[in-house]
Amino acid sequence: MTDLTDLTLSETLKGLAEKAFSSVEVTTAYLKKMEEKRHLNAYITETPEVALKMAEESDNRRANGQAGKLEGIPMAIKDMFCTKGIRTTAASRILSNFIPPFESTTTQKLWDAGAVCLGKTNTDEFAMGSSTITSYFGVTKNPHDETRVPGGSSGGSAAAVAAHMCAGATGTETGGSIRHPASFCQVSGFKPTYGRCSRYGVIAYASSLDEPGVLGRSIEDCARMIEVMMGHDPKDSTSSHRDVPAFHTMLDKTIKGMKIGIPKEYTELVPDNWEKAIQFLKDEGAQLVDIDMPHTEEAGMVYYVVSQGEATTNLARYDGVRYGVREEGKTLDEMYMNTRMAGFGQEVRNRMILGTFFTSAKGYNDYFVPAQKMRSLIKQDFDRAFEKVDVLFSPAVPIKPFTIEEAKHGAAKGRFNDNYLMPSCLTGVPAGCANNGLQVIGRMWDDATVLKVLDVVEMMK
Amino acid sequence: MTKIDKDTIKEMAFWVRVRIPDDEAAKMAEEFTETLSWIGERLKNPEIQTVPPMVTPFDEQIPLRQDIVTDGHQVQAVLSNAPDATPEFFCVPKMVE
Amino acid sequence: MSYIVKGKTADWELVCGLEVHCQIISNSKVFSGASAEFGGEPNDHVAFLDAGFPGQLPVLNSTCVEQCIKTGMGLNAKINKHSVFDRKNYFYGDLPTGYQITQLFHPIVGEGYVEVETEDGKRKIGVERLHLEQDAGKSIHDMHPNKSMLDFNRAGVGLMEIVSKPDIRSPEEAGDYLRKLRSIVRYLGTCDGNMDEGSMRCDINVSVRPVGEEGYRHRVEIKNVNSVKFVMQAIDLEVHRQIEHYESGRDFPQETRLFDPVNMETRSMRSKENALDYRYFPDPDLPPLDLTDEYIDTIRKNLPELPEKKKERFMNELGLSEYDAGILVADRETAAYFEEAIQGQDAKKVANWVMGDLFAALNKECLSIHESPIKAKDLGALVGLITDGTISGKIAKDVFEIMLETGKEPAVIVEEKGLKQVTDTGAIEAMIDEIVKANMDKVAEIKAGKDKLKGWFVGQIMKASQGKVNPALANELLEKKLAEV
Repeated sequence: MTDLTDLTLSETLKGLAEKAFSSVEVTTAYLKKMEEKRHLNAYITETPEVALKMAEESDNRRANGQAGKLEGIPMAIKDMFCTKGIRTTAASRILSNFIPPFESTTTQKLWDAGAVCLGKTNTDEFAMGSSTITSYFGVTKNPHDETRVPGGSSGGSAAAVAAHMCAGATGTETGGSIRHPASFCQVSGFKPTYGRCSRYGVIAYASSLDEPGVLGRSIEDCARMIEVMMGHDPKDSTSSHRDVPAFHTMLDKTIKGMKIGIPKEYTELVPDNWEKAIQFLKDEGAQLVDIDMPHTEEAGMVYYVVSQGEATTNLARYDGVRYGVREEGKTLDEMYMNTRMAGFGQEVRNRMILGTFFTSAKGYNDYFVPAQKMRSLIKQDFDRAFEKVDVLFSPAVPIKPFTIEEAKHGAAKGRFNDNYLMPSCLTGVPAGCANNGLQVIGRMWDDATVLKVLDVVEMMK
Repeated sequence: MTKIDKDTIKEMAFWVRVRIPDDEAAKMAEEFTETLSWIGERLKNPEIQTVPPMVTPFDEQIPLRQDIVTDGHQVQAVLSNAPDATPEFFCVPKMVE
Repeated sequence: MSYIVKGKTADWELVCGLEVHCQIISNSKVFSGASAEFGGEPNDHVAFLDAGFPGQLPVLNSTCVEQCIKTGMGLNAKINKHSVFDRKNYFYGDLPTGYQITQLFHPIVGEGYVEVETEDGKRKIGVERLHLEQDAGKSIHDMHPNKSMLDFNRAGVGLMEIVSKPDIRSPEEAGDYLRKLRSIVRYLGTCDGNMDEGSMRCDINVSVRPVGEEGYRHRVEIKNVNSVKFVMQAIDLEVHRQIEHYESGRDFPQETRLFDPVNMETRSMRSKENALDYRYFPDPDLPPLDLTDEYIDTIRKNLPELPEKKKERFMNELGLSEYDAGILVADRETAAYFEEAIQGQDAKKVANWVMGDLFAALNKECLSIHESPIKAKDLGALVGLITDGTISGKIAKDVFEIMLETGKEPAVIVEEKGLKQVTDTGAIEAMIDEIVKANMDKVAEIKAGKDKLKGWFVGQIMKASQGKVNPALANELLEKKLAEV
């Protein structure tokens, strides 16, 4: 019998539907693979008992003819999503003992659709980073080369998908944290339009940028997961009321006649498969249009100001009072200091310190507000581009994964690490990375077209 | 040009209740001053005066909730993760006025 | 009478503004679905949001928005169609998220005013703004020797912060302003105004300047003063403290102080509190609040009548004096009681009963008007019984006493005790016959011109009837009889 973990999510669904195997069998196979590959450190918390129980219930539902859209599919959840009764850490010591008494809306939707929870995946602490090296629970290794990082911050999810330790996984983006590790681990990743997925129960990093999304072995897999996770949530005031189409049925494998923009600012450095990709799109009948996105270069600066400013206040609640790890102190302030010194890693502490400046009376007027204006200009770039084209096409991350050693010495600060990813986070537009490292960005709310084009991009041999 | 010194960094660290040793604060101050000067240069772009600040990509109206009690009555769950608590209260070191 | 403090070097005047926090009357909290009710078991009215759990997000309560708009209308203020929620950042035990959601840059209500009646006549105290924000939790310090206990029941209850302009010029005016504000929110049903339960709390900004000086000197903020009396005392104390400093050439810092009603002094809070930068910025979890004209108009149409309007109506339509009308509208419960009592009755007579016998009785028993043993409609009915001649005014006083004790309806009491005025003229004539027969000597004196004695006869009739005969009727029948004799 073939290894069930070698099937894509879509193939697994088909096999389950045809009763070729059960969810318990698939889940057991994945749990075995997780054990074999545990040295990659993709998971912070594995939940085999929960998984088998959920798989059993799933098989019962299927037997009763009540199969959901993801019935029986074993998934990994980035440890930024609160899961009721299952430890949720944000890869931080300060939450290393936190058991949420509630479930995030998006994971609840996955479970309601029949998915099975394998465990919680590693990330940079509070999702701040793009190497998955700042986790309190250790570095995650890239399954393709274990001396290298998986990218980040959703590096645990990307590694788990790449190493077949799950059929699919959730991730979160703030500045590219799904597409970056997807590119480094050669899997597919999709970040929907801001407001598509509820942020309820997702640990906040920078609220105006954070967007839950998915990683899978193919865009079709991503489409199946994300259409379940999306939709209005009354518990999130920034959750859209717009309808969610069944994306996976809209992947019609054709881009004939579509106008695809190539922003010149996104091609300063390109990967090896770039020329081939351009030719492929032309061969598929797309019309390629050169596009100017003049404020692209400013995205890193705006991201730096906005994300740190917002993160500082989002992380103020971790004070050792109501949950998490506490370090005692004689006074309240001393307890706060001891707790937060011991609870947060240095990267997080540094971002919080600098973040205070941007919301201080002086920093707010001189830097934060002007940066938000620059954010408007970046958005204008997109608005103008989408007057001319249907989607934008570019590499996701034009560089190869750096080694863990390089990452520890600041390799992730290089400018080609994430400058093709950040503008779409700042503006909220949908964007995804195909499993060959190529990126498609679409209009606000036009998630369907992004997925459709990415699906075609993945046909490239 | 904004110059950030060691003491400002230490004050900012206090705002978020973390400590930073003097030498680290001094180094951070130096680097941050440089970063701010770089940011300041980029923000001199006169174009930014032509647009409003973008706070969020979200473009829909704020939802208003009906005023009904739908939550609470879950003391145990609320206190279940507390490092120090009685069956009713969270406990912290004595707060003095 | 203006408040001028004579110092050694100058005559000083007060410059004062108040920041009043009013807890909004609503079922649930401003951003969570937990109960906003006062009290409850500790930490029972707590949603995960109120305890600052990770991943929890705020969703705005529609009632809290309406209450702010209503109150804004009561303050004659501009309702801002566009307002924005900001985060105010600081660490404290009772603040579970490390920031309070409030409105700094764009409040929901803009400038308005409150009209107060001072000894020198009417004055308008300017209102700078009203904004919507969250209340903090409560910390309890006396349960454990070295720990404080935290209760987040109050955390997240909606607050309206009403900021006045620095228009207040005397402690009395501050008191008048506060009382008027309390009356307005109570009328509107937007806040219960109970300062002793903390549902209305006051911060005071005080500075002084020599009379005639323009501009403002630096000010001191006195935090959390919790009664009208204390507010007035705290201002007076702080004025004298500041003058003393100026006159002795000592400087004093712009700072936050606490009022100590036991030692009758204000004292400095820790300086850390003073150096705070709250790092306000728009909360990315909440889109701006944009209101339509239709929405605002609907609220305006359904706005309850405010004290000013009501007073005018009492004077113009019911013919009450300005003084009486003022007393009857001073608080919403009294006005409501009065309006219920006058249904179908003579308003002026009812007003006399309310302000006379009823107030006296309630005062004696230390009861508020909503605790009155006599229901409004029963007091009205009592007045009705006098008006239609069923009982005399004198009997009415007795009936009132019985109503106070038993809470029974006046008609029932009159019936049970047989207090109805005798209107059967035959019976009265028989009574008069008897009295006249027994006192022929006095009749003779009347005939001889001693008219005063008629009053004596009426008295005898009233006595014989135990007061149940209408005196006018008794008089009329007596005249008739005397003419016959």
